[in-house]
Amino acid sequence: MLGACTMLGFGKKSELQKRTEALAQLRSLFLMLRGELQHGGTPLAEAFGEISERVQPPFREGLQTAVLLMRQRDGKGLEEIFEECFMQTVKESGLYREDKKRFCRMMGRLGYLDLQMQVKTVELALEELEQEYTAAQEEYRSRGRLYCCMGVMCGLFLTVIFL
Amino acid sequence: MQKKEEFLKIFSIKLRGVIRRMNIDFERLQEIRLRVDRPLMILWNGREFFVRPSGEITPDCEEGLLVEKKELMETMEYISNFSMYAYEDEIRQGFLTIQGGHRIGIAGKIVMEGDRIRSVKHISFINVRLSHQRMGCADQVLPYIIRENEICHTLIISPPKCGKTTLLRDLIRQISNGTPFYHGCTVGVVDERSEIGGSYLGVPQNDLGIRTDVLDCCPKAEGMMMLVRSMSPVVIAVDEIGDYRDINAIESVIHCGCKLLTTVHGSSMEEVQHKPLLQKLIRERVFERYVVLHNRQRIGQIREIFDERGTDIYKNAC
Repeated sequence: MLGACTMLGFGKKSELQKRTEALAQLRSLFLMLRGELQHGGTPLAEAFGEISERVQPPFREGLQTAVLLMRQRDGKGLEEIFEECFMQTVKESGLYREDKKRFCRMMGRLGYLDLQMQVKTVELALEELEQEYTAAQEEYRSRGRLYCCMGVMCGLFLTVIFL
Repeated sequence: MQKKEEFLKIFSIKLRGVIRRMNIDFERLQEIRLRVDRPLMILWNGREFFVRPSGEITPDCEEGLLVEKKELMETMEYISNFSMYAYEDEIRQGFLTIQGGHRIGIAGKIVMEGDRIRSVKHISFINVRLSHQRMGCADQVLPYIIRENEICHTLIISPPKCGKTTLLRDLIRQISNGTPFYHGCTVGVVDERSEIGGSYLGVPQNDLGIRTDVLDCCPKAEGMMMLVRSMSPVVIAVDEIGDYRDINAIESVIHCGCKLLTTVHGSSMEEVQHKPLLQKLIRERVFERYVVLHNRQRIGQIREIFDERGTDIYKNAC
Protein backbone atom coordinates (compact mmCIF):
# COMPACT_ATOMS: atom_id res chain seq x y z
CA MET A 1 0.00 0.00 0.00
CA LEU A 2 2.84 2.32 0.89
CA GLY A 3 4.52 1.45 -2.38
CA ALA A 4 1.35 1.93 -4.44
CA CYS A 5 0.60 5.36 -3.00
CA THR A 6 4.22 6.42 -3.39
CA MET A 7 4.11 5.30 -7.04
CA LEU A 8 0.90 7.29 -7.51
CA GLY A 9 2.61 10.40 -6.24
CA PHE A 10 5.64 9.86 -8.44
CA GLY A 11 3.30 9.15 -11.35
CA LYS A 12 1.61 12.53 -11.00
CA LYS A 13 5.01 14.20 -10.80
CA SER A 14 6.07 12.35 -13.94
CA GLU A 15 2.94 13.60 -15.77
CA LEU A 16 3.91 17.17 -14.98
CA GLN A 17 7.42 16.52 -16.24
CA LYS A 18 6.11 14.92 -19.44
CA ARG A 19 3.87 17.91 -20.13
CA THR A 20 6.77 20.30 -19.62
CA GLU A 21 8.90 18.33 -22.09
CA ALA A 22 6.05 18.17 -24.60
CA LEU A 23 5.54 21.94 -24.41
CA ALA A 24 9.27 22.39 -24.97
CA GLN A 25 8.99 20.21 -28.10
CA LEU A 26 6.06 22.27 -29.36
CA ARG A 27 8.06 25.43 -28.80
CA SER A 28 10.94 23.97 -30.75
CA LEU A 29 8.49 22.95 -33.52
CA PHE A 30 7.22 26.52 -33.86
CA LEU A 31 10.77 27.89 -33.81
CA MET A 32 11.65 25.62 -36.72
CA LEU A 33 8.45 26.64 -38.51
CA ARG A 34 9.38 30.29 -38.12
CA GLY A 35 12.80 29.46 -39.57
CA GLU A 36 11.30 27.66 -42.55
CA LEU A 37 8.99 30.60 -43.26
CA GLN A 38 11.63 33.28 -42.86
CA HIS A 39 14.34 31.38 -44.70
CA GLY A 40 12.46 30.32 -47.83
CA GLY A 41 8.77 31.18 -47.56
CA THR A 42 8.27 27.43 -47.60
CA PRO A 43 4.71 26.17 -48.22
CA LEU A 44 3.22 24.67 -45.06
CA ALA A 45 3.13 21.04 -46.20
CA GLU A 46 6.80 21.15 -47.15
CA ALA A 47 7.72 22.94 -43.94
CA PHE A 48 5.88 20.40 -41.79
CA GLY A 49 7.53 17.59 -43.73
CA GLU A 50 11.00 19.02 -43.05
CA ILE A 51 10.24 19.71 -39.39
CA SER A 52 8.83 16.21 -38.84
CA GLU A 53 12.33 14.83 -39.54
CA ARG A 54 13.70 16.93 -36.71
CA VAL A 55 11.22 16.34 -33.90
CA GLN A 56 10.72 13.35 -31.66
CA PRO A 57 7.78 10.96 -31.69
CA PRO A 58 4.85 11.31 -31.28
CA PHE A 59 5.02 14.80 -32.85
CA ARG A 60 6.91 13.37 -35.81
CA GLU A 61 4.05 11.03 -36.67
CA GLY A 62 1.53 13.80 -35.98
CA LEU A 63 3.16 16.15 -38.49
CA GLN A 64 3.63 13.43 -41.10
CA THR A 65 -0.04 12.47 -40.84
CA ALA A 66 -1.00 16.15 -41.13
CA VAL A 67 1.05 16.47 -44.32
CA LEU A 68 -0.72 13.45 -45.82
CA LEU A 69 -4.13 14.87 -44.92
CA MET A 70 -3.20 18.28 -46.35
CA ARG A 71 -2.23 16.67 -49.64
CA GLN A 72 -5.54 14.82 -49.81
CA ARG A 73 -7.39 18.17 -49.97
CA ASP A 74 -10.70 16.64 -48.98
CA GLY A 75 -12.53 19.72 -47.77
CA LYS A 76 -10.95 20.06 -44.32
CA GLY A 77 -9.34 23.24 -43.06
CA LEU A 78 -5.99 23.26 -41.26
CA GLU A 79 -7.49 23.32 -37.76
CA GLU A 80 -9.66 20.32 -38.57
CA ILE A 81 -6.72 18.46 -40.10
CA PHE A 82 -4.56 18.98 -37.04
CA GLU A 83 -7.40 18.06 -34.70
CA GLU A 84 -7.88 14.82 -36.59
CA CYS A 85 -4.23 13.78 -36.54
CA PHE A 86 -2.92 15.36 -33.36
CA MET A 87 -5.67 14.37 -30.98
CA GLN A 88 -4.94 10.74 -31.89
CA THR A 89 -1.21 10.59 -32.53
CA VAL A 90 -0.03 12.68 -29.56
CA LYS A 91 -2.26 10.97 -27.00
CA GLU A 92 0.74 9.79 -24.95
CA SER A 93 2.69 13.04 -25.25
CA GLY A 94 1.70 14.33 -21.80
CA LEU A 95 -0.14 17.34 -23.17
CA TYR A 96 -3.48 18.20 -21.65
CA ARG A 97 -6.53 18.24 -23.90
CA GLU A 98 -6.62 22.04 -23.69
CA ASP A 99 -2.97 22.17 -24.84
CA LYS A 100 -3.80 20.08 -27.91
CA LYS A 101 -6.86 22.18 -28.75
CA ARG A 102 -4.86 25.36 -28.37
CA PHE A 103 -2.16 23.97 -30.66
CA CYS A 104 -4.78 23.02 -33.30
CA ARG A 105 -6.23 26.54 -33.12
CA MET A 106 -2.75 28.02 -33.61
CA MET A 107 -2.26 25.84 -36.68
CA GLY A 108 -5.67 26.87 -37.99
CA ARG A 109 -4.56 30.50 -38.08
CA LEU A 110 -1.77 29.73 -40.56
CA GLY A 111 -2.11 30.24 -44.32
CA TYR A 112 -3.99 33.52 -44.02
CA LEU A 113 -2.65 36.53 -45.96
CA ASP A 114 1.05 37.07 -46.68
CA LEU A 115 4.40 35.77 -45.41
CA GLN A 116 4.72 38.53 -42.85
CA MET A 117 1.38 37.45 -41.38
CA GLN A 118 2.55 33.83 -41.14
CA VAL A 119 5.68 34.86 -39.25
CA LYS A 120 3.66 37.08 -36.88
CA THR A 121 1.17 34.24 -36.31
CA VAL A 122 3.98 31.87 -35.43
CA GLU A 123 5.57 34.46 -33.15
CA LEU A 124 2.25 34.94 -31.37
CA ALA A 125 1.98 31.17 -30.95
CA LEU A 126 5.52 31.11 -29.56
CA GLU A 127 4.64 33.80 -27.02
CA GLU A 128 1.63 31.82 -25.85
CA LEU A 129 3.67 28.63 -25.67
CA GLU A 130 6.41 30.40 -23.74
CA GLN A 131 3.87 31.47 -21.11
CA GLU A 132 2.42 27.96 -20.91
CA TYR A 133 5.89 26.42 -20.67
CA THR A 134 6.95 28.78 -17.89
CA ALA A 135 3.73 28.04 -15.99
CA ALA A 136 4.20 24.30 -16.51
CA GLN A 137 7.80 24.44 -15.24
CA GLU A 138 6.64 26.36 -12.18
CA GLU A 139 3.87 23.83 -11.57
CA TYR A 140 6.37 20.98 -11.84
CA ARG A 141 8.74 22.67 -9.42
CA SER A 142 6.10 23.54 -6.83
CA ARG A 143 3.80 20.57 -7.08
CA GLY A 144 6.10 17.79 -8.14
CA ARG A 145 7.71 17.43 -4.77
CA LEU A 146 4.32 17.94 -3.12
CA TYR A 147 2.81 15.02 -5.05
CA CYS A 148 5.71 12.75 -4.08
CA CYS A 149 5.43 13.70 -0.42
CA MET A 150 1.67 13.32 -0.46
CA GLY A 151 2.01 9.91 -2.04
CA VAL A 152 4.34 8.73 0.71
CA MET A 153 2.23 10.35 3.46
CA CYS A 154 -0.97 8.84 2.08
CA GLY A 155 0.64 5.46 1.98
CA LEU A 156 1.84 5.76 5.57
CA PHE A 157 -1.55 7.02 6.72
CA LEU A 158 -3.44 4.18 5.06
CA THR A 159 -0.95 1.66 6.41
CA VAL A 160 -1.43 2.96 9.94
CA ILE A 161 -5.24 2.94 9.52
CA PHE A 162 -5.27 -0.67 8.38
CA LEU A 163 -2.86 -1.72 11.11
CA MET B 1 -4.95 7.73 -64.02
CA GLN B 2 -2.99 8.55 -60.87
CA LYS B 3 -1.71 11.79 -62.42
CA LYS B 4 -5.29 12.72 -63.32
CA GLU B 5 -6.44 12.13 -59.74
CA GLU B 6 -3.53 14.21 -58.39
CA PHE B 7 -4.47 16.97 -60.81
CA LEU B 8 -8.15 16.92 -59.84
CA LYS B 9 -7.23 17.48 -56.18
CA ILE B 10 -6.53 21.15 -56.89
CA PHE B 11 -10.26 21.75 -57.39
CA SER B 12 -12.92 22.21 -54.73
CA ILE B 13 -14.75 19.03 -53.71
CA LYS B 14 -17.84 19.95 -55.75
CA LEU B 15 -15.97 20.93 -58.93
CA ARG B 16 -13.71 17.91 -58.57
CA GLY B 17 -16.73 15.63 -58.72
CA VAL B 18 -18.15 17.38 -61.79
CA ILE B 19 -14.85 17.38 -63.68
CA ARG B 20 -14.21 13.75 -62.79
CA ARG B 21 -17.56 12.86 -64.37
CA MET B 22 -16.62 14.50 -67.68
CA ASN B 23 -16.52 11.73 -70.24
CA ILE B 24 -13.72 13.11 -72.39
CA ASP B 25 -10.15 12.21 -73.31
CA PHE B 26 -8.15 14.09 -70.68
CA GLU B 27 -5.07 14.08 -72.89
CA ARG B 28 -6.82 16.55 -75.20
CA LEU B 29 -8.05 18.79 -72.40
CA GLN B 30 -6.20 22.09 -72.71
CA GLU B 31 -7.86 24.48 -70.28
CA ILE B 32 -10.39 24.61 -67.48
CA ARG B 33 -11.75 28.07 -66.74
CA LEU B 34 -13.43 29.10 -63.52
CA ARG B 35 -15.20 32.44 -63.31
CA VAL B 36 -17.38 33.49 -60.40
CA ASP B 37 -21.10 33.27 -61.29
CA ARG B 38 -20.28 32.13 -64.80
CA PRO B 39 -20.60 28.66 -66.30
CA LEU B 40 -17.73 26.21 -65.92
CA MET B 41 -15.87 26.19 -69.22
CA ILE B 42 -13.26 23.96 -70.81
CA LEU B 43 -11.11 24.10 -73.91
CA TRP B 44 -10.96 20.62 -75.33
CA ASN B 45 -9.25 19.68 -78.55
CA GLY B 46 -9.20 23.33 -79.59
CA ARG B 47 -12.93 23.89 -78.95
CA GLU B 48 -14.84 25.53 -76.12
CA PHE B 49 -17.44 23.63 -74.14
CA PHE B 50 -19.44 24.26 -71.01
CA VAL B 51 -19.84 21.62 -68.34
CA ARG B 52 -23.20 20.61 -66.93
CA PRO B 53 -23.56 19.68 -63.25
CA SER B 54 -23.78 16.06 -64.40
CA GLY B 55 -20.33 16.34 -66.00
CA GLU B 56 -21.58 16.24 -69.58
CA ILE B 57 -20.09 18.82 -71.85
CA THR B 58 -22.25 21.05 -74.01
CA PRO B 59 -21.78 23.96 -76.41
CA ASP B 60 -24.72 25.72 -74.73
CA CYS B 61 -23.61 28.17 -72.03
CA GLU B 62 -27.09 28.24 -70.46
CA GLU B 63 -26.67 24.63 -69.36
CA GLY B 64 -23.26 25.04 -67.77
CA LEU B 65 -22.71 24.71 -64.02
CA LEU B 66 -22.37 28.15 -62.45
CA VAL B 67 -19.17 28.46 -60.44
CA GLU B 68 -19.71 29.96 -56.99
CA LYS B 69 -17.23 32.22 -55.22
CA LYS B 70 -16.71 29.71 -52.40
CA GLU B 71 -15.73 27.04 -54.97
CA LEU B 72 -13.10 29.37 -56.34
CA MET B 73 -11.78 30.19 -52.88
CA GLU B 74 -11.61 26.53 -51.94
CA THR B 75 -9.85 25.81 -55.25
CA MET B 76 -7.26 28.53 -54.59
CA GLU B 77 -6.63 27.07 -51.15
CA TYR B 78 -5.94 23.66 -52.67
CA ILE B 79 -3.87 25.04 -55.53
CA SER B 80 -1.58 26.71 -53.00
CA ASN B 81 -1.93 23.80 -50.54
CA PHE B 82 -3.01 26.18 -47.76
CA SER B 83 0.01 28.41 -48.44
CA MET B 84 -0.91 31.37 -50.65
CA TYR B 85 1.90 33.36 -49.01
CA ALA B 86 4.46 31.02 -50.58
CA TYR B 87 3.39 32.09 -54.06
CA GLU B 88 3.43 35.87 -53.60
CA ASP B 89 5.94 36.45 -56.41
CA GLU B 90 4.06 34.21 -58.81
CA ILE B 91 0.68 35.72 -57.90
CA ARG B 92 2.13 39.17 -58.60
CA GLN B 93 2.94 37.95 -62.13
CA GLY B 94 -0.60 36.67 -62.52
CA PHE B 95 0.07 32.94 -62.63
CA LEU B 96 1.63 30.08 -60.78
CA THR B 97 2.78 26.65 -61.79
CA ILE B 98 1.83 23.59 -59.82
CA GLN B 99 3.10 20.04 -59.59
CA GLY B 100 2.88 18.47 -63.01
CA GLY B 101 3.79 21.70 -64.79
CA HIS B 102 0.20 22.94 -65.11
CA ARG B 103 -0.06 26.72 -65.26
CA ILE B 104 -2.73 28.45 -63.19
CA GLY B 105 -3.59 31.93 -64.40
CA ILE B 106 -5.43 34.17 -61.93
CA ALA B 107 -7.23 37.48 -62.10
CA GLY B 108 -9.08 39.59 -59.58
CA LYS B 109 -8.54 42.84 -57.74
CA ILE B 110 -4.97 44.12 -57.91
CA VAL B 111 -3.44 45.60 -54.77
CA MET B 112 -0.84 48.22 -55.62
CA GLU B 113 2.07 49.40 -53.51
CA GLY B 114 3.16 52.66 -55.02
CA ASP B 115 3.52 51.93 -58.71
CA ARG B 116 4.20 48.22 -58.41
CA ILE B 117 1.80 45.33 -58.01
CA ARG B 118 1.79 44.02 -54.46
CA SER B 119 -0.67 41.18 -54.84
CA VAL B 120 -3.97 39.99 -56.31
CA LYS B 121 -6.92 40.03 -53.95
CA HIS B 122 -10.48 38.67 -54.37
CA ILE B 123 -9.39 36.18 -57.01
CA SER B 124 -12.49 35.65 -59.16
CA PHE B 125 -11.06 34.15 -62.32
CA ILE B 126 -8.88 31.07 -62.66
CA ASN B 127 -7.53 29.58 -65.86
CA VAL B 128 -6.01 26.13 -65.45
CA ARG B 129 -3.79 25.34 -68.43
CA LEU B 130 -2.97 21.67 -68.48
CA SER B 131 0.46 20.44 -69.33
CA HIS B 132 0.63 17.17 -71.21
CA GLN B 133 3.72 15.19 -71.91
CA ARG B 134 3.49 13.88 -75.45
CA MET B 135 6.23 11.33 -75.90
CA GLY B 136 7.36 11.24 -79.48
CA CYS B 137 6.00 14.62 -80.56
CA ALA B 138 9.54 15.70 -81.39
CA ASP B 139 10.18 12.72 -83.70
CA GLN B 140 9.56 14.79 -86.80
CA VAL B 141 11.71 17.73 -85.71
CA LEU B 142 14.74 15.97 -84.25
CA PRO B 143 16.36 14.84 -87.51
CA TYR B 144 16.28 18.43 -88.77
CA ILE B 145 18.12 19.86 -85.76
CA ILE B 146 20.98 17.36 -85.80
CA ARG B 147 23.90 18.14 -88.09
CA GLU B 148 27.14 16.16 -88.23
CA ASN B 149 26.14 14.37 -85.04
CA GLU B 150 25.68 17.63 -83.14
CA ILE B 151 22.59 19.47 -82.04
CA CYS B 152 22.05 22.80 -83.81
CA HIS B 153 21.27 26.00 -81.92
CA THR B 154 17.50 25.93 -82.33
CA LEU B 155 14.79 28.53 -81.88
CA ILE B 156 11.20 27.28 -81.72
CA ILE B 157 8.79 30.00 -82.85
CA SER B 158 5.18 29.60 -81.86
CA PRO B 159 2.02 31.54 -81.04
CA PRO B 160 0.42 30.78 -77.64
CA LYS B 161 -1.25 27.39 -77.17
CA CYS B 162 0.57 25.70 -80.03
CA GLY B 163 2.58 23.27 -77.96
CA LYS B 164 6.03 24.82 -78.00
CA THR B 165 6.77 23.82 -74.40
CA THR B 166 5.46 20.31 -75.08
CA LEU B 167 7.74 20.06 -78.11
CA LEU B 168 10.70 21.45 -76.19
CA ARG B 169 10.11 18.94 -73.41
CA ASP B 170 10.18 16.00 -75.81
CA LEU B 171 13.25 17.34 -77.61
CA ILE B 172 15.05 17.55 -74.27
CA ARG B 173 14.02 13.99 -73.44
CA GLN B 174 15.11 12.52 -76.75
CA ILE B 175 18.40 14.42 -76.86
CA SER B 176 19.15 13.34 -73.31
CA ASN B 177 18.23 9.68 -73.77
CA GLY B 178 19.59 9.40 -77.29
CA THR B 179 17.91 7.86 -80.31
CA PRO B 180 18.95 5.24 -82.86
CA PHE B 181 20.70 7.99 -84.83
CA TYR B 182 21.94 10.21 -81.99
CA HIS B 183 24.06 9.09 -79.05
CA GLY B 184 22.47 11.13 -76.23
CA CYS B 185 24.18 13.86 -74.24
CA THR B 186 23.95 15.95 -71.06
CA VAL B 187 21.20 18.53 -71.19
CA GLY B 188 20.88 21.41 -68.74
CA VAL B 189 17.40 22.91 -68.34
CA VAL B 190 16.61 26.28 -66.79
CA ASP B 191 12.97 25.83 -65.86
CA GLU B 192 12.05 29.31 -64.67
CA ARG B 193 8.34 28.62 -64.22
CA SER B 194 8.49 24.85 -63.58
CA GLU B 195 6.59 24.26 -66.81
CA ILE B 196 9.12 22.09 -68.59
CA GLY B 197 9.82 19.59 -65.85
CA GLY B 198 6.81 20.27 -63.59
CA SER B 199 9.19 19.79 -60.70
CA TYR B 200 8.03 19.06 -57.20
CA LEU B 201 10.54 19.48 -54.38
CA GLY B 202 13.26 19.73 -57.02
CA VAL B 203 12.35 16.49 -58.79
CA PRO B 204 10.94 16.77 -62.34
CA GLN B 205 7.54 15.09 -62.60
CA ASN B 206 7.81 14.92 -66.39
CA ASP B 207 10.29 12.61 -68.08
CA LEU B 208 13.14 14.82 -69.27
CA GLY B 209 15.61 12.03 -69.95
CA ILE B 210 18.38 10.25 -68.11
CA ARG B 211 21.10 12.84 -68.72
CA THR B 212 19.16 15.97 -67.84
CA ASP B 213 19.86 18.38 -64.99
CA VAL B 214 17.21 20.91 -64.04
CA LEU B 215 17.43 24.28 -62.33
CA ASP B 216 13.87 24.79 -61.13
CA CYS B 217 12.32 28.24 -60.52
CA CYS B 218 15.57 29.92 -61.52
CA PRO B 219 15.79 33.09 -63.65
CA LYS B 220 16.99 32.14 -67.14
CA ALA B 221 20.02 34.43 -67.39
CA GLU B 222 21.52 33.38 -64.04
CA GLY B 223 20.51 29.77 -64.54
CA MET B 224 22.29 29.39 -67.86
CA MET B 225 25.56 30.60 -66.41
CA MET B 226 25.18 28.40 -63.32
CA LEU B 227 24.67 25.33 -65.50
CA VAL B 228 27.67 26.12 -67.68
CA ARG B 229 29.88 26.56 -64.63
CA SER B 230 28.75 23.53 -62.68
CA MET B 231 26.98 20.85 -64.74
CA SER B 232 28.96 20.69 -68.01
CA PRO B 233 25.96 20.55 -70.30
CA VAL B 234 26.34 19.84 -73.99
CA VAL B 235 22.92 21.35 -74.64
CA ILE B 236 21.11 24.04 -72.65
CA ALA B 237 17.34 24.38 -72.92
CA VAL B 238 15.26 27.36 -71.80
CA ASP B 239 11.67 28.32 -72.53
CA GLU B 240 10.39 31.71 -73.74
CA ILE B 241 13.34 34.07 -73.99
CA GLY B 242 11.98 37.49 -73.22
CA ASP B 243 14.48 40.20 -72.35
CA TYR B 244 17.97 41.53 -72.91
CA ARG B 245 19.41 39.69 -69.94
CA ASP B 246 18.34 36.41 -71.55
CA ILE B 247 19.98 37.45 -74.83
CA ASN B 248 23.24 38.38 -73.09
CA ALA B 249 23.27 35.05 -71.29
CA ILE B 250 22.60 33.23 -74.56
CA GLU B 251 25.63 34.88 -76.14
CA SER B 252 27.80 33.80 -73.21
CA VAL B 253 26.47 30.25 -73.32
CA ILE B 254 27.12 29.92 -77.03
CA HIS B 255 30.67 31.19 -76.61
CA CYS B 256 31.21 28.49 -73.98
CA GLY B 257 30.56 25.84 -76.60
CA CYS B 258 27.11 24.71 -75.44
CA LYS B 259 24.29 24.19 -77.89
CA LEU B 260 21.07 26.06 -77.25
CA LEU B 261 17.42 25.03 -77.49
CA THR B 262 14.94 27.78 -76.81
CA THR B 263 11.52 29.13 -77.69
CA VAL B 264 9.97 32.49 -78.42
CA HIS B 265 6.45 33.82 -78.98
CA GLY B 266 5.72 34.59 -82.61
CA SER B 267 3.63 33.42 -85.53
CA SER B 268 6.24 33.41 -88.27
CA MET B 269 9.90 33.79 -89.13
CA GLU B 270 9.23 37.27 -90.53
CA GLU B 271 7.61 38.45 -87.30
CA VAL B 272 10.50 37.19 -85.20
CA GLN B 273 13.06 38.83 -87.50
CA HIS B 274 11.50 42.19 -86.63
CA LYS B 275 11.72 41.71 -82.88
CA PRO B 276 14.41 44.10 -81.61
CA LEU B 277 15.45 41.51 -79.02
CA LEU B 278 16.38 38.90 -81.59
CA GLN B 279 17.50 40.94 -84.57
CA LYS B 280 21.18 40.83 -83.63
CA LEU B 281 21.19 37.08 -83.00
CA ILE B 282 19.37 36.37 -86.28
CA ARG B 283 21.61 38.74 -88.25
CA GLU B 284 24.71 37.07 -86.83
CA ARG B 285 23.23 33.64 -87.67
CA VAL B 286 23.58 32.47 -84.08
CA PHE B 287 20.56 30.20 -84.47
CA GLU B 288 21.11 27.36 -86.89
CA ARG B 289 17.54 26.13 -86.98
CA TYR B 290 14.17 27.89 -86.71
CA VAL B 291 11.15 25.69 -86.10
CA VAL B 292 7.80 27.43 -86.68
CA LEU B 293 4.68 25.86 -85.15
CA HIS B 294 0.98 26.39 -85.66
CA ASN B 295 -2.23 24.66 -84.51
CA ARG B 296 -4.41 24.75 -87.59
CA GLN B 297 -5.14 21.04 -87.60
CA ARG B 298 -3.73 19.97 -84.25
CA ILE B 299 -1.59 21.43 -81.50
CA GLY B 300 2.14 21.25 -82.07
CA GLN B 301 1.97 21.01 -85.82
CA ILE B 302 5.21 21.95 -87.59
CA ARG B 303 4.62 24.61 -90.20
CA GLU B 304 8.15 25.19 -91.39
CA ILE B 305 11.78 24.67 -90.47
CA PHE B 306 14.48 27.11 -91.61
CA ASP B 307 18.25 26.99 -91.46
CA GLU B 308 20.54 29.83 -90.32
CA ARG B 309 20.28 31.58 -93.69
CA GLY B 310 16.48 31.54 -93.60
CA THR B 311 16.25 28.81 -96.22
CA ASP B 312 13.21 26.56 -95.97
CA ILE B 313 14.39 23.03 -95.21
CA TYR B 314 10.94 21.70 -94.31
CA LYS B 315 7.47 22.94 -95.16
CA ASN B 316 4.17 21.38 -94.11
CA ALA B 317 2.01 21.01 -97.18
CA CYS B 318 -1.27 21.45 -95.18
